[in-house]
Amino acid sequence: MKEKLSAMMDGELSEHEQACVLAELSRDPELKKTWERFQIIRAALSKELDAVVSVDLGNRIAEGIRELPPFVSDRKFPRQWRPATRWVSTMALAASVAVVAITGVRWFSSNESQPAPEQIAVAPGQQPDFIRAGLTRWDTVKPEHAKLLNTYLIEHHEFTPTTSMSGVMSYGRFVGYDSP
Amino acid sequence: MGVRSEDQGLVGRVQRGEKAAFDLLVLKYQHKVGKLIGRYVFDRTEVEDITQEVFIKAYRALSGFRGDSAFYTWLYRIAVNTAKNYLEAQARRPPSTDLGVEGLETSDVADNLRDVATPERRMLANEIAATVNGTIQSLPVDLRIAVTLRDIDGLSYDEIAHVMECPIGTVRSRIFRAREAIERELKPLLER
Repeated sequence: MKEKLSAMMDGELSEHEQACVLAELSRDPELKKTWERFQIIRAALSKELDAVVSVDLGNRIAEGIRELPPFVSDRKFPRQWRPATRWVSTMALAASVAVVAITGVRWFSSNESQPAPEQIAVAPGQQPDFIRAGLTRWDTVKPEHAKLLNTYLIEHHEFTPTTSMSGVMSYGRFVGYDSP
Repeated sequence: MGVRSEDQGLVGRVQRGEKAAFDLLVLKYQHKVGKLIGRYVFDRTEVEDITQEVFIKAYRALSGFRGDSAFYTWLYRIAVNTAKNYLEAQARRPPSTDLGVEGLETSDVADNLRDVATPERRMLANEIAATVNGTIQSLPVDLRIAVTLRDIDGLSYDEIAHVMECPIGTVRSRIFRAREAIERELKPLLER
């Protein structure tokens, strides 16, 4: 039995042999001590035994576990039902995505005829710096900034989408600069 | 065979309701978890209390363990979180750096734990190491090679059989005989 215990420690026992060893372990406390000593030997050989915790700790933990209610698996469905439940949840998710997409496209289409505001938000009473941006040029009320911003747009032009889809914003960009 | 598959059988059995299989995992990892907790808490009694808590938490949470990582990696996360929560509850600051499972083995952490261990425990660990190393040197060469290839190099029985050019059954027997011989020497030391 001890040889099987040694092989079990190495994960080299069949399911059936494991069951036999575990059954014997619950009957023979000495066999459990052998398991612990084998583990200590391995720890010492692989230089992991820097300190030994209390020899009684394992017993204390086992006592604590024994007082717990029997282990309850969280599997709510029998194994053979699982693919079915997974399929249903996948379909539900796909349906939700489809509904959101259709609603979104309709909403955007209904707003398409309205002219897009040139400027989204400006603090009340404040004159905006930037009026409108094309692909490579800015019209700005402060000409001293125009050169800086236009250079930026030209340099980043290759990354800018040139087409727009219905219901989809072509791109949005925030540009900042520091005054000298 | 790696540690991952070594533990998989036992973990599966615990998940099917065999508490005895969990006892074996506790006996296997108690020293390693204790060593890890010792990084965070420097009082020996506290280390053991937290180690106990870690295993009880692990047992309770084991139904959710799906084997995506090795059992010890999963246990390691529980241990670190439990130690940190403990320190936070005590309004003590956890160490600023966390090490991975592998990093722990090669760090100076052991030095921290040596400070936690009583002189008796320290002496016991040294005596165990000396006994194991002394006994292994006195073993017949085939037994010595088999057990070191397994416990130090982590080779599977199949790989050891290939290296030693012998059947797997012989490997299993050699490893067992080596462990049995070392255990015989170790037993009086641990029962003192």
